[in-house]
Amino acid sequence: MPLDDKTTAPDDVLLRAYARGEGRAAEILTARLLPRVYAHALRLLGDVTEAEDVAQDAMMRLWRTAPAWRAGEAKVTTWLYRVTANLCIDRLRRRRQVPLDGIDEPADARPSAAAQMQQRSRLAALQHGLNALPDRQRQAIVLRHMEGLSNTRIAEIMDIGPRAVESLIARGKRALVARFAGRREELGYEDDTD
Amino acid sequence: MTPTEIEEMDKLDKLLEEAAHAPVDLPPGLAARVLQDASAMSPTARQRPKLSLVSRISSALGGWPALGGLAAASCAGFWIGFSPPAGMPDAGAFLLGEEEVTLDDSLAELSGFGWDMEEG
Repeated sequence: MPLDDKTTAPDDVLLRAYARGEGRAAEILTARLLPRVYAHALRLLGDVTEAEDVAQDAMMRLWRTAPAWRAGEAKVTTWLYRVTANLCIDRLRRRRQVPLDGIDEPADARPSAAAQMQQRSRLAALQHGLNALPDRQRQAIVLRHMEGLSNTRIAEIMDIGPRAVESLIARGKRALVARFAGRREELGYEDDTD
Repeated sequence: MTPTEIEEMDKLDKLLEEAAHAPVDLPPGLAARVLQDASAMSPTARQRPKLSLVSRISSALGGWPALGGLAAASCAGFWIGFSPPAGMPDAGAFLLGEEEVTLDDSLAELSGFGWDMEEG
């Protein structure tokens, strides 16, 4: 099957094409999957450098497993989410402490960039809150609210039941709400209509 | 949940949604490194010409011309042992159990393979 920039072939088809030696398949898979893998790692780790290492490692494992990939089994994205999370959790366990300063500080203080700064501040505060959660709660929340996955998909990735997923998410979000309770202004909770 | 808790949870959901849609830029060079890995690990990159044991020995000894002489000498020795001249023990038949051979103290079994031919 010829590959071009607009191919809509499923991930597993492209992966098997790569395993047969079609380099173009690797380009398409990288463009399609690497941003998601990196973003997921960044949200789980809260550190740009480590997320970069994990993303490259996860993709390398994908290339390595390509010859053995069987059609119709797990989705490539499910497999990648799982591998990425495992790599992140391994790093976090080695670290034993998630850094609170892994997010870049906004460097532009011009009035025209004020809204951008506020957004960065809010998102940095959110990441710090996520960093403070237990690994599995953070993973479940990121998969649901940032990757947009269903409980069923999350359960498959995390190898737990859907009810356990709901419980992790509920506990994690309650912890975040408690953490942000005294920081409404910082998080921009005070909107213009108040 | 109390109304306040519900309101707080709603705000958190909005913040999470905002984070979900915030662009995440790939670090410079990451995509290139991933593609380099893909290239290095592709089946075509990993294929190496597989040399058989004979090919490796051949190249170590100087190629097929050198092996030809060695092969010829080996065949000659084998033939002499397998079908010895009259009067000499037939080692081949002995091994096949077709003939009883009485070995004396001489180097008959060696002469059957031509090994004694190099003796002075």
